[in-house]
Formats: sequence, structure tokens, C-alpha cells
Amino acid sequence: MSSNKEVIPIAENKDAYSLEVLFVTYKTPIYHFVYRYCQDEQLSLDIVQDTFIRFSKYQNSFDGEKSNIKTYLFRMAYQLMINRLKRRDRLHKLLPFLYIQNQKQIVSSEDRISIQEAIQQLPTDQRAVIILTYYHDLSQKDISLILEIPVGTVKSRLHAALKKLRKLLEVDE
Amino acid sequence: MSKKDIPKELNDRLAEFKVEVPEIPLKRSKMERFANWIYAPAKDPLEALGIKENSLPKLIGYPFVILLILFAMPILFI
Repeated sequence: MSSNKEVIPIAENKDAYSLEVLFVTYKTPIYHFVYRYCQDEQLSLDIVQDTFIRFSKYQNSFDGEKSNIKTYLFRMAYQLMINRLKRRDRLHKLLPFLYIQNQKQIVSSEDRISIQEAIQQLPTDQRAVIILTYYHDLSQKDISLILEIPVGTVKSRLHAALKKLRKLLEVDE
Repeated sequence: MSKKDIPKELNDRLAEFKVEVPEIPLKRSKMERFANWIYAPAKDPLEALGIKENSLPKLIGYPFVILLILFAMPILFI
């Protein structure tokens, strides 16, 4: 994994996994991932911070030889994001007047749907797979570790996501 | 399948999704988060009750109309 290699040269000393070094290296990719998934700036910002705060708490349980730091941080961010979105959905159901719903825009036949709208319209399980594959160039094995699903499920979700995106964006095969 | 296997046209469309990263401090401030939550745009709760701009005159006027109807009712039984 390319971005992980950025950390390895200094991995000889334990500073490579210091919070500051990791934060500088991974805050942008994690923000990109979370933002593309939920398209909410404030939530994405909170998730990035929470990921590193959580990492600092459980830093001792991370084994750099057994697992990859990038996958580890992405998995943490994904779990935090899913939990926050679930909590927000519950609050939304309880107090609907507090939230402005992300209204699905009606697209006329002449208008071209934007990629942001198309990604938002993908089912949540497919959305994560396409974002990690395309925007982060991660292998299917890494994606399966982040999302905690089998590699076969990653493949089928990716296939389904591409099919749906082609349909939504009216792109030929 | 990897990024390279995605058809070109779809690849180009996916590339249109650019994200600007704001300044992210490492430490979070609970007060700041609370303030963001408070100032986040919310629906108008009066919308759910169907109260609009012209609702106030109606709200004042309706009791008078009801009173008039009530006072006029005995006339029907004369």
C-alpha cells in the first residue's frame, strides 16, 4: 500500500506511529472517505478527530507487524461514522422537525445527474466499496478488512455498485 | 476488479467528485461541536402545524367566527 510506505522509513523508531505523524499522513484520506460517504462536512470533521482520539486510546493494542495502519484507521473511521449515522437516524425519527432532510433531487430527463448525487443514491453497503476502490485505490482484501466483510461480498457489491452507477449516470458499458 | 478496470467514461465521471479539506485540528472541542449542532440548519417546527405567514390573522379571527356561529345558533330554533 503506497501511503503506508510513507510511514515505514521512520518506523524504526516508535515515532512512526505517533499520533501527530499519523494525523498528518492520514487526516486527508480519512476525511475524503468519510465526506464522500456522508457528504456532511461537520460530521466528516468530527469523525476524523474521533478516529485519532480513539486510536490514541487503543494505540497499545495495535500491532504494526500483524496489521496495516491505514486499514486499521480506515476501519476505525468507518465504524465511528456508521455509529454516528445510526444515532442521527434514530434522533431524526424521534425529532424529525430538527433536521432538514437530504432531499433527493428530482432530475429531469434533460438534466445530468451529478456524481455526488449518484453516489448518495447508492445503497450504503455498495457506496463504501466503490469509494474505497476508486478514490483510495485499495485492494479488495483491504476493503474486506475495513468493512469487515468477506472478499467475495466486496466483489459482488462492487459489481452491483458499478452497474447502478452506470445506470444512474447513463454511462455505456 | 480494481480502479483500472473501471470503464473510462465512468472513470471520468467519478473523477469529477472533488473534495476540499478544511483545516482539521487534532484536538476536538466539545463546546465547538455543541455550537455547530445548535447552529445547524433545522426545519421550521411551525411548518408541521401548518402555521404560515397568513396564519396569525386567521388565528385571531377564527374564535370570533366561532362565537358568532354559536350566538347565531338559537336563531335557528326560534
